[in-house]
Amino acid sequence: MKLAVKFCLALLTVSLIFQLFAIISTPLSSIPLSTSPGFEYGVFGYCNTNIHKCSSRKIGYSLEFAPHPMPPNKVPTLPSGLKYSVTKLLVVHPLSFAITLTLYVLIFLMSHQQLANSPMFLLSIALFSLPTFLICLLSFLVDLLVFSSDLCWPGWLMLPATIVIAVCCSLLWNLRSTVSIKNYETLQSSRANTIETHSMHDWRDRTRIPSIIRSDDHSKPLLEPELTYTSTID
Amino acid sequence: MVGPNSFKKQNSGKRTYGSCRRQELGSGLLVGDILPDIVTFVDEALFQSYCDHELPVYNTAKDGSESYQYLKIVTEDWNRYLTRKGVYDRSFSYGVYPVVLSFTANFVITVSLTLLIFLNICDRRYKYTSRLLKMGAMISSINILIFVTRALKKLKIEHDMYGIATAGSIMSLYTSDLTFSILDLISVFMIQLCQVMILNRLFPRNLEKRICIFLGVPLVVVSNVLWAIPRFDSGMQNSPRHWGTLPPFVYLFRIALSTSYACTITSYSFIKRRFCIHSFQMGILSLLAVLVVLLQPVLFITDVSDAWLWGVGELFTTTCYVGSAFIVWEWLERLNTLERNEQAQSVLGRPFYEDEQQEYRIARYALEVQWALGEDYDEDGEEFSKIPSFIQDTPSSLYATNSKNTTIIGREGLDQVRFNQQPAMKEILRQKLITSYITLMRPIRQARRWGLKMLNFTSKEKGENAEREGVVRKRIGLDRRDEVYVYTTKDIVFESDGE
Repeated sequence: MKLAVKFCLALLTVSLIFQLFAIISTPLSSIPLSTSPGFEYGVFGYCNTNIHKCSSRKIGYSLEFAPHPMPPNKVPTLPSGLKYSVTKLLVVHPLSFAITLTLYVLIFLMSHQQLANSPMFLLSIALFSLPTFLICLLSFLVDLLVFSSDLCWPGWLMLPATIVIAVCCSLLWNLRSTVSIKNYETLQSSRANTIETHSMHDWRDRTRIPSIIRSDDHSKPLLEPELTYTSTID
Repeated sequence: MVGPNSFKKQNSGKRTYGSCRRQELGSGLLVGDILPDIVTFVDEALFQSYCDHELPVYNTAKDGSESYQYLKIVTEDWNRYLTRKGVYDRSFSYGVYPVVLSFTANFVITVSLTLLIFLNICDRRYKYTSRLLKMGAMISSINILIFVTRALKKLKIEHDMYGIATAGSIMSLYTSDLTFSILDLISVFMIQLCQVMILNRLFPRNLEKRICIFLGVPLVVVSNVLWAIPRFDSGMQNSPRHWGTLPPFVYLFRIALSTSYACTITSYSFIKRRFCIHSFQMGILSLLAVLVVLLQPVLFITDVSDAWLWGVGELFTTTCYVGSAFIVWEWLERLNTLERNEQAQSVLGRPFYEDEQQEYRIARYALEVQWALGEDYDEDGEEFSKIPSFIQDTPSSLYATNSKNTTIIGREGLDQVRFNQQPAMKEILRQKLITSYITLMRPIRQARRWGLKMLNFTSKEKGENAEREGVVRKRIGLDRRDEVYVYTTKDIVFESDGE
């Protein structure tokens, strides 16, 4: 149980680090999410390396340093041929990071014994892991769509980050079912177990002893039903 | 359709072609049957060559270039167009031939899959899902049939009018044809619901099944509603500034959902890999199922990376959906049969889970009894041989819950029974000998009986037989047919025997 939690935390740490590379890309740092001749692109903006200037840091690129389109009456496009407005979709990156961080905190809370044994808490964590996976996958797909073949390594790192979350997700669902079985068994064993089982020795001895002596409870037949009845079918 | 083409492919015209603009030809004679007089003298003739999205097109008529010479500027532009390079300027994959090939192949595959669905899927266990799948596949087949007809008609009109055939005109049908869009939306919605039901089959516990339905159905509904909004709302199409991010988001959302489906199916096939490689046929089917679910994400990657033909994912969407539902369905059917065969060899017959309350307790009790039997016979080696051969264990992977340490363990013990065990060679030979002996003896016995009958020696034997039959009939209650008795496992003394 504890090992599973530790393993989940380790996986999510890896995923968070991978996602962090994309978040801190250009213009926050010099790591580009995508490059084209004279330009470097990131989640929060892009930089024109020819004039060494970067756009304002926000979701969705502004057109201030965009390359001049050919012919001039057209709107400027990204190297993949998409319009700049599509870059608003890059919002999924910080969203994915935030959701993964929340999942990390929730799993960290599982190290508390009482919470770790609560099926409802585990179920909610397992359910929460599903949108985490979906949004992380969406971030990778958005990167692929916006930058396509010009995508750099921080963008490709989103794929292993997604796979890692998928593994964590399946682990959480398995953990939930294990805890569910464990709790059920504890509950059952705490109640008086009404079903009696007998060794086969008693059963066989019973057949050897004459039927008059067989009056005590211990020598009851193995599968005697509580009620025996006769009825007729109308 | 909200495909990548609706927001992508700004055919930027990195190179401009002069022949697409008006050309002043000066004065001269115009000859043509569309003119009021067949021959007219004009002072200033203006000529504009037919272009498709600012790209030159060439006459596709068989003898066009021989009968009528093109203008020099048009020929030059055409030669420039042929030597172009770059992402948007592929020569073959942007032509009409790959598109025609794709949508006709698409048509054949979808219709074949629909036929297979109607032939293979029966309504027994998953009645509503199978009907939904049949209906979805049927609608997509009809849709693709209508689309092929319209596309070919459009190609004909284009050829008749301009003497050319462009891929763009067929691709534009995807966005402009309302019938296609509506039918496509309905069929995809139905098949996506089927996919949710297929995923539902993968989970053994009731709670997981419920969660799968409660999560899957809203996701499918949201995905399709979002898909429909930009497609059918013309106001939104005209204001790309505010709604420009919706079509790519919806497109990616669909891809994300199909990727999640692919992930689940692939991981399930990995978990059940033992059954997947059970036989050669099963191995092929498993491989096909995994490939077909991965096809849609792969087509997305080819689409965005411009690996082959643009919008190929869009062309194959419906086929991908029908294939990924039907082939996975068939694969699961076979997988379940194999699994059930193995589970049938156990005492419980199937796995029991803790949320099945009563059944789970009964199952645990049955296992305890079985273990008690096992322990008992383990102690007494001689007694073991008395156990009927059908209870004797064979290794298998039935999972039972051990009540002592509360973990799931693989019990490879007495709780398994093998019915379909391959008999040994010696056993087969013995069986054959016995069968041939019986077959040989039958006519001999018959002849003997006839002989005895003829000699009237059977009267006494017949009387004895009738008496014995009467006792048995009375014992099993055939003399009082409308009464049902439930017996205990106590020793039963048949009163009728004493009579």
